[in-house]
Amino acid sequence: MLPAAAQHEHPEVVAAYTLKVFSPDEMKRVATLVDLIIPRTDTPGASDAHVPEFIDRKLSLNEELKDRFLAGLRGFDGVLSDSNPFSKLLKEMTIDGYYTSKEGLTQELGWHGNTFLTEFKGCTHADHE
Amino acid sequence: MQTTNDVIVIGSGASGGMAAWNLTRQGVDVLMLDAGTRFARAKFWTHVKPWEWNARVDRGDRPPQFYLDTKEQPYDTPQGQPFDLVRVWGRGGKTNVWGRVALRYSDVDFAGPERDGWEIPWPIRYRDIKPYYDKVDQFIGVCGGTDDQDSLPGSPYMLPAAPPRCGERLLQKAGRSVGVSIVAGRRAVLTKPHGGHAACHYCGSCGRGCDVGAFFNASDYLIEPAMETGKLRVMDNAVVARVLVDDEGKANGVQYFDRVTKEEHTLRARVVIVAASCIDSTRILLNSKSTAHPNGIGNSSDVIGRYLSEQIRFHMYGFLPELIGGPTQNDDGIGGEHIYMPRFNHRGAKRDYLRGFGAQFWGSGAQADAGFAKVLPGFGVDFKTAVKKRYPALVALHPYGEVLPRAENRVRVDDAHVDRYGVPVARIEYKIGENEHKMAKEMYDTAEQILRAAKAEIMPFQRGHLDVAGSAIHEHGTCRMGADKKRSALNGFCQMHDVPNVFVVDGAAFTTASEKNPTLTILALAWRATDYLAQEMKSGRV
Ligand SMILES: Cc1cc2nc3c(=O)[nH]c(=O)nc-3n(C[C@H](O)[C@H](O)[C@H](O)COP(=O)(O)OP(=O)(O)OC[C@H]3O[C@@H](n4cnc5c(N)ncnc54)[C@H](O)[C@@H]3O)c2cc1C
Ligand code: SF4
Repeated sequence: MLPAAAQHEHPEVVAAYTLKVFSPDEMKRVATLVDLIIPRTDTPGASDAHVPEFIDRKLSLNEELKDRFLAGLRGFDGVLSDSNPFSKLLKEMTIDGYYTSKEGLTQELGWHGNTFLTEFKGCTHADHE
Repeated sequence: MQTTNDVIVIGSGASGGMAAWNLTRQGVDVLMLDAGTRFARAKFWTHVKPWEWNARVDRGDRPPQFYLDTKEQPYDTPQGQPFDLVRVWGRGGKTNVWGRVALRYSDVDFAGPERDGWEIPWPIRYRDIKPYYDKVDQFIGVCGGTDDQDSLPGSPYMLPAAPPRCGERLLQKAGRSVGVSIVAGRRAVLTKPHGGHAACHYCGSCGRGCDVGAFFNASDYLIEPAMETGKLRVMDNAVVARVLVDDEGKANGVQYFDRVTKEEHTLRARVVIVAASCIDSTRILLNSKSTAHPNGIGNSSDVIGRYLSEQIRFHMYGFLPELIGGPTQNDDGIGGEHIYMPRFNHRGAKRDYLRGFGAQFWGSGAQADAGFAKVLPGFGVDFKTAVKKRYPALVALHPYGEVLPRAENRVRVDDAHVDRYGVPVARIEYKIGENEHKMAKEMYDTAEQILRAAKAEIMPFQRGHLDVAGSAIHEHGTCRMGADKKRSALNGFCQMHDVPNVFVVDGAAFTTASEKNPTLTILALAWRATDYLAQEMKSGRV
């Protein structure tokens, strides 16, 4: 247990995630699939960025989505395709989870916003004029 | 005996805040009734990173709940005719989270109905309101836009413009190459400290409320200073249901319900200013039935509730070749766009439709998510690479078009459907017509033309698709001003023709919607109306 002050300085330090919807097997399956959508390269992949947990949590908040997702997962043949409805749903949730995670946003995309600046310079490239 | 207040103001948003501020500084005592409470700035989530949200929520913390839940306050729409009504109940109203696009109307707008003959003319012109725009700009702080054109007047009182981001500058260049002018945005954000308020620190999170109050919101900029005069009293959680009248049909007070206890109360007043935002104000007026006003207060013309005018809108996205694969920059700036495309279709060939459109550009540059990735095909390393390459290169176009005022686009109240206090809810019946579909065609052509000129990779779009009605959050027209008492409810000073001690100072008062965001004009009209009211009160006419 960290002292309260240290916890405050590290808001991202959270307890290990307890599954709300998925069984451990489903969790493993989802982790494998999301890593096929966004794999680890020289930057983290989807499961490095806790996307399976993100999806589990999302499903716990929406009964209709949960039923649709779990039914889709059970019937899924494992072949990702943009025309398969479950595959599409999984891809969209992976995108939502990954690109709002610290790993996805900062390490992969290089986002460094939402800070305190004293000046905003805007575009400084003469060739964009 | 009940005490009688000089003036009761219903609502604390842009319109009510301005009314209260301008009256109190002229020595008038004001009681403001607001349906909510003050949002605590210290608790805003302006600097909570996207990945910190869930952990916070799991700890039981919640961001401020700005938006009114329709479960608490429902409204009706006909089957298959949706209208998304966005309401913020609480101190400052929607200005806590507004987009801060602050555009002046011009005579292209004010004289529009006269030019094309559609519905009644505005009773005012740009010259009537210009001094008030000047005062509003100076008072609230608006940045950018000293440049002037017939459809979008400039202002000499602007704070320094927020310089365009790369994508925006490239769109300006593309616009120029096809003869479409894209100018500096006009935004109510402080690019310098102003009027005792802190300057913007370019964090881009304005939609969650600004933790330092660096953009205009009615609570900090109007209501707090008004309270300091000692002339303003604010009652929180007071949900006004009706304006009450005496035997002659003159307003003499209001009925309200306590949002916490649900108890009913009445208060007396010499003057009532209705400023609950267009739809809520209209609901109050239509529910204010009496022998003198059988179909709602001040409604002998039967125009109240009618002529609801919102705006049509859609979105088009692209990726600019100069920026694809480039470095990620911090594109937050003042949050939202730094540029604006003013209306141009009144020039050149006559169109096969009336009125016009402009365009906004919020969401251009690096965002705190990558929603666009959902339309990119594929999976795996190639997909990941495709997203990353495009991420710094995103630009977004959001054209807004005027919807003509039509009598059948209306708000009613229905005794059969009441809220938790037994007060009839609003029923919104609203449809766009052929004119809007024709305009949408040119709006699509224009957006596509700009993106093509920029050689953008355009994201797939469905031509002709429009956002669900109400999405622009710019409701107008349901208690319109005009010179003809048979066809309008208010005069040019927002005063009821039928009931001179009632003023309606929000978007309901607008004669037409225009393609522009309304709030700067709401502020200017409310300032002007209350200057007039203060004069009328001094001379004893009201
Ligand atoms: C996300 C978003 C973006 C926007 N972007 C822009 C923009 O870029 N530019 C622009 O010009 N406009 C924008 N708008 C619209 C702008 O916020 C409104 O035009 C403006 O706030 C209207 O002011 P108002 O006083 O009419 O209403 P509001 O600001 O909504 O205030 C209404 C007030 O009335 C109170 N109220 C309601 N019902 C009752 C009742 N029955 N009794 C007592 N009090 C009541 C509420 O508590 C509230 O205080 C945006 C709005 C939103 C939500
Ligand atoms: S960008 Fe500026 S105005 Fe917007 S929230 Fe941040 S500091 Fe406030």
